[in-house]
Amino acid sequence: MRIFTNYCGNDDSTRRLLNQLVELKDPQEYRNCMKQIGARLAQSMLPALNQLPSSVNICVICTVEDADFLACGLVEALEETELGNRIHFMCMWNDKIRDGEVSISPIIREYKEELNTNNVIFIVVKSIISSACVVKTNLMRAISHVNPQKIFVVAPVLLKGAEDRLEQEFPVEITDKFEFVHFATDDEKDGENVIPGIGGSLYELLGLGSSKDKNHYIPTIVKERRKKFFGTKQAALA
Amino acid sequence: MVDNKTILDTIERCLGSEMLSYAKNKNRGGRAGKKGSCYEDYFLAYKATEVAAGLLRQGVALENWPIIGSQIPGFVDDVVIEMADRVEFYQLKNATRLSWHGGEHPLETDFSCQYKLALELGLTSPRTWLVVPSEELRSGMSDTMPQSIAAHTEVRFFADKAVLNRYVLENTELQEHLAQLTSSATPKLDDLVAAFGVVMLAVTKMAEQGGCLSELLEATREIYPYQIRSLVADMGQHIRPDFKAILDSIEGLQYSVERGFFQWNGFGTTGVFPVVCSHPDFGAFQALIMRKRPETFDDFEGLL
Repeated sequence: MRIFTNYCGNDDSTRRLLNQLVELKDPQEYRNCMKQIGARLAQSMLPALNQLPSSVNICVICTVEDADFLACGLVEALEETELGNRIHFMCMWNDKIRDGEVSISPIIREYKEELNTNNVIFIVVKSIISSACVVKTNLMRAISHVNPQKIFVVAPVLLKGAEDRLEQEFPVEITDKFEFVHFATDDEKDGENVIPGIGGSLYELLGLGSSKDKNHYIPTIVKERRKKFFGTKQAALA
Repeated sequence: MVDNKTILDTIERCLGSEMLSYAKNKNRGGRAGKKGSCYEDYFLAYKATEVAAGLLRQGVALENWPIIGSQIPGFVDDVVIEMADRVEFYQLKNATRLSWHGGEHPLETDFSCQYKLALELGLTSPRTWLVVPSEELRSGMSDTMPQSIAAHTEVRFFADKAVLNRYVLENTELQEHLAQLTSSATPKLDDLVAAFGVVMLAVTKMAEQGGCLSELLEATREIYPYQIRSLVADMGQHIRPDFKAILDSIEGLQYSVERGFFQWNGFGTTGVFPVVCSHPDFGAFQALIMRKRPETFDDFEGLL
């Protein structure tokens, strides 16, 4: 059963987007929908973000599969506000190992923009949070770089209990910084997939292939931001 | 490590048939209870990490690395580490209250019998350890330790953190040990957690048969190839000069062979090739680079 949260707001448009998402099978339509949901997540966070001191940096942390769609929608929506010039971006390529009770999501590649300050808040965005293994890992990586003032954990859908599962992984001085922002809580799973969740296997629905294939994908947002922040030479066109 | 039959025969000979029966039941119960006994598994992984880190720091040759086992027949049997100069036997009790004397099989008797057994088996300098989850209990059990076992017994505190993440996050000593094992010389917190995870998976699967610690660590590659460093030195020899020449010409790309793995970075992006440099897959990657001759970082990254 699904329960929508107050972050959906007073109109039905966010709920309609989530309901639409689980029905879409065409990757391009699915991608577009995810991007719109990302923008809605950004709008939901604006009241909290606008209360931050104007000097605070914002670091958006996402996975490779979410980068060009959910995360891009969120970043672009924030860039349209006066928060736009304070945004940094981190993208992780995660592998997955699960054996019994041990579940780990090793990071095999990372894109990170320079952030030499602890005057930062994190927005960890994920299309769906179920076991919280990937979010836990990527948050650990981000904390290795800087010590944030606040950590927003943001997703369209959470599996019931995901907040507790994530909080159990960290000591209280970190979990005290958590604020969860999501539109719906689902309480059922069918094997690996949350029901209705985001409609099934994310990589396949986004047209990224298998869990192995998606780690060969290089997001457009990464390439563009890399050019902007680091400069990069492209191969001369033949 | 002494084989199980020899151990059981020795128990019967020097301690009697009742103790043999007890040891067999204890071993069966230990194996059955071990499935999902996370406190014991985490300690086993911790000890494997701690010992391996020390050996790597000292540069000890792999053939001299200790044997590590779990649930080997005996009386103090959760973890056994057999080194060149000593053998350590660990019993874990994830409890809030304990006594050396209580119950049908008091801990004092178990620890005394284990010591006798170890001497009968000709093991060098056996020591027995009780491991408990609170400092208060450690102190209490140390203060009340019977004289009969005090010469070869100590009590150790090992906190029960319940989840992999917190075992690493809340133990800087463990972080330092893990940093000796990871494929990167500058591991991040998640690298340390992942390394601890694969060590735990490897040792808990294989320690019941007992095995050399170096082999157990190499076995982590079957679970996940690139979390643990290569234990073999001089992997740089596998990097071809023509491969290096192509990479050296790419603006912004930096790379190194660190702990047996090809590691690269450029323009804010870092990564590790997922197998050691001696692996055929890395040879195939080098061949691909030499065939495609990438000229930019984007071209290089597209071939990974």
